[in-house]
Amino acid sequence: MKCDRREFLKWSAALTAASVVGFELSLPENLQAVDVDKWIKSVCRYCGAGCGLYIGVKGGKVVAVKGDDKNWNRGYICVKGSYLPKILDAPDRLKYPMVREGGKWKRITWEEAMNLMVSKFAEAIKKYGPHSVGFYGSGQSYSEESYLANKLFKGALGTNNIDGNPRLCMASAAVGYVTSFGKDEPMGSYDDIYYADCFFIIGSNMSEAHPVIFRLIMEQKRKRKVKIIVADPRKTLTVRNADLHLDFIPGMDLYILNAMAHVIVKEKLYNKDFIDKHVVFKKLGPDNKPQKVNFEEYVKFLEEYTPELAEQKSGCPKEKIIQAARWFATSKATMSFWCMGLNQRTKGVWVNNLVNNLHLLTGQICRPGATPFSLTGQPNACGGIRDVGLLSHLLPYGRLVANDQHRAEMEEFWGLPKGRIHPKPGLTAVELFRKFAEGEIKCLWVVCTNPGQSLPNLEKYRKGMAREDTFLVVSEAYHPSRTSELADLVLPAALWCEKEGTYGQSERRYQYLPQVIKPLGEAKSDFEVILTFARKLLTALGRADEAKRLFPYKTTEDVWNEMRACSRNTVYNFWGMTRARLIKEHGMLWPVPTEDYPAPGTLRRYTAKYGDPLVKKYDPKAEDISFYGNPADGNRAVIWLRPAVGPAEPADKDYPFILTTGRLIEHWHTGTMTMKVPELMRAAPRAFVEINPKDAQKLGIKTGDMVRITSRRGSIVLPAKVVDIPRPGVVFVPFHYPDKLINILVTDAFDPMSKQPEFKISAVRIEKA
Amino acid sequence: MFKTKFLRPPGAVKESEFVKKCIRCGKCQQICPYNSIVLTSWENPFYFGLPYIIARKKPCYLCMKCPPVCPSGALDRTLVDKNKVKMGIARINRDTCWAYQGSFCRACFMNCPIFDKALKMTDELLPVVIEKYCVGCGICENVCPVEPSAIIVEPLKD
Amino acid sequence: MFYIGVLIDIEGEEAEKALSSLSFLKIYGKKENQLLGVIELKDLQEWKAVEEALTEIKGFLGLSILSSFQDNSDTS
Repeated sequence: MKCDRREFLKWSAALTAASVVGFELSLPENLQAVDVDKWIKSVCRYCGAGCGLYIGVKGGKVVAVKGDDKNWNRGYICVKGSYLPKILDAPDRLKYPMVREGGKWKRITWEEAMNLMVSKFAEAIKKYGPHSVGFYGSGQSYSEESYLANKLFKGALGTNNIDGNPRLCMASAAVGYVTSFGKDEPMGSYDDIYYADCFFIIGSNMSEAHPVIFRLIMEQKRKRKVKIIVADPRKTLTVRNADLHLDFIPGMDLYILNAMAHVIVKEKLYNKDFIDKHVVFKKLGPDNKPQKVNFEEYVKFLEEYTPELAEQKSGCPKEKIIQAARWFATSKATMSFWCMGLNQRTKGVWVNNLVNNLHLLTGQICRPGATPFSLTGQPNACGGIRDVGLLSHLLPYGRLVANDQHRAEMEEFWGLPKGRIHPKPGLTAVELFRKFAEGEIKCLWVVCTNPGQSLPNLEKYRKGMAREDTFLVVSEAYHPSRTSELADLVLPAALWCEKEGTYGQSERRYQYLPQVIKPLGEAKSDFEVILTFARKLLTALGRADEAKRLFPYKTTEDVWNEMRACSRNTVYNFWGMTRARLIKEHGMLWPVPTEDYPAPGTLRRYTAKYGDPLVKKYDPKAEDISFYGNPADGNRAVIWLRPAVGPAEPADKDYPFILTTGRLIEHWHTGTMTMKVPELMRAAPRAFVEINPKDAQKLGIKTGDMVRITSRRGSIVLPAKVVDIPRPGVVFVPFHYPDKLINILVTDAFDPMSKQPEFKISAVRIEKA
Repeated sequence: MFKTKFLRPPGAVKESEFVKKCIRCGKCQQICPYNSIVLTSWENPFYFGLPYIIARKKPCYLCMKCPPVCPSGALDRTLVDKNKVKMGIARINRDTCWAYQGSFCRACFMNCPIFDKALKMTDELLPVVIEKYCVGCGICENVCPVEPSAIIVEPLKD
Repeated sequence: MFYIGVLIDIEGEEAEKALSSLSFLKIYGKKENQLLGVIELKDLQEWKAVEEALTEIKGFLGLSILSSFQDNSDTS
């Protein structure tokens, strides 16, 4: 006893001392007051960073989480993640299926719900054909769930009207990777942070949206004096920690990126050897078809994009652009990060290409620390949507709907009659909801996402979703959400650790999430619901044999094994990631071609020297680097000549401000989860509009004043926050708050290549309300 | 135990004089558009009717409407610049603050009205109070997602 | 008994080694050139001896007292 007391007093003295000087001191495990039965390894439910964590369970309840120190995040998690246990038993969790009858919600049994849903879908298919039904999936569903839905709609039903919400967040990055390198997904990984000497962050507020990744970068800044360049129209916390801030008028970054290339070429900072070996140049010809050009033509194309022109168009001082170009090209290793600021744009693919161009031009790629890296918004947008192919133009693992051979491959793999998969890409997110609003789609199933809040130009699509003569099914953990309130049928979904499955985050890392507790009430995993629905619907359509043959699964592992096999002859090859390995390891990065291929898998792709096992298979002659995803161009990557173009809706006389929307660290997307946590609501209770002090002074607006913001599509009143964050002429509103639907104001103009809408730039006017 | 430490409204003269000067008219409480100012009741009967602020419930948003209405000079009537207010100084409890626990949080920093001056984020992404600029409004204490707040405004001593 | 939380500024690894071998001092943390530790004393008379022992160590630059706890049950 005496010894304990002595030990205790010593620790007290040490901890008090530590707190006085801000010394980091962690209590030894046995002194920590965490009272749980067991800790179970899992992954955070929120953003695409994909932090590993342990879930603490006590008496069948989740009581705590802590970071996984053996995963890439090294034990760090952010404030939202820390409060994860509180989302599970929120009072508005949906506990049983409900149907809307005469404007009122009525509880029904699962059997009644499934029968109703099957009869509606079957009726529509019989009457109007398979293209009259649709599915809207999510980058938060588990991979196995998305794979099943994709197999049901594209394979069994023969319609490609199945798209996912990553269309709103990742599509431009995906098409950017495909056009630049032949195949989707980044070649690098978070591991590159430890080797990069220069970070180029554009269109990403990492400090709020991907805080743990940002923490790793800041750690390197302290240790190694790395350079951080941030291009952003707002002086975010990310910018405030940068060495160089490129501040510009939203939408004008194409000028800046082309001007950086201009400087690199003019000052001969490009890597000629790399270009000769690994790069081809292309532009869009007059017929809109890609056309090969040579380096000289690229140089000629860049001539007009001088730093002076970029300054004139973007408002960013030319000295800063020149400095950024020099640092980018001459650092030992440069790593780029970008996110929605580039992706949610009408020229999203082009601006993605322009970042990739800089890496190819300077050879800052395919070695430790040198890589372009697209950050992901959702925890499974990569693994579950882009890889699984739950987008209307994709088939699993890099295959395309429009490619005859790819369709034939999948028809054979799935055991479908020839010609079952429709050769035309289906409707993309915005188009899908437009056709639903127009009544062309009769039945739509929305799973694990909240389009009633997250679509652009919202009023238009909300009206469509509320139509009486169409049938909207929403699978949700919470009710009412801004989507489920418009539904005809709501199905209670198991949430996060109430079900099992796989997540794949930004860096190709696949991680297993075990079921830790029982689902609340009658909630079921979407896996179980999709599987039951698939069998019942096919039976109702008189195809009971297919129901048995195509959907024989008993567990999620059965589906996982089919997915492994499906990836086997593709560049995604993760055959070696058995369920047992994923349970044991702290995430694995594909390709992992064999079961004995060492964990964590492949940290860097397209380079044999740094460990890509597939270079030998696809390009046996390659010495080191090979962009084997692009055999059509001789395993070379593409530098695209992309002219600089402004946004769809620039500021003008009537709407002189640019509205940009974004995220706060406390909340995640539409807030269905984070807004159930009182501690987070205390920190970020309500929507606001950030206005630059100069603009505020001109308009006579003070912090706390109510301000009306009006765009061509709608209008909203919000309290002002006058702060030196947005540049003059720009206002910022977070899109999290269900009671202030800012997306009503946002344009639904979209990128013709990726079909991703331009959430980030809408012209508005503001006045005191 | 009676409450003895009070966060006074902006512009308050030093505590020992404030308790003498204030005539407990409640004008500052009436004009406060945010209902931030409360009047002392049984929490300390000796101070009945003296105005103060419970930052965790409602902090001072520095609208500066109360100093000019004070008839007694307990609040400095000439004070209009929110940067010159000095109600107290925020102190961070590094044992409970999420940022110091290895998690990442910046709620106090983002909500500080003396933005990026009174509260700074170090390059270790830890919030620190710059005493020279901190006005003691209590907004940080109010928004802190830790229970109880990991950043607390200490009222200015005499 | 007294338990005194201290922050010690040092120079070089030698000093750290020497300090960690002292019987009255336990090191709890380290950041760059600073050690955080707790000094254990029977009574305050011992402090002089402690100070002497510390200043003799090469690379010991200085010390600040940050906290102190007293265990009354143990005072004689």
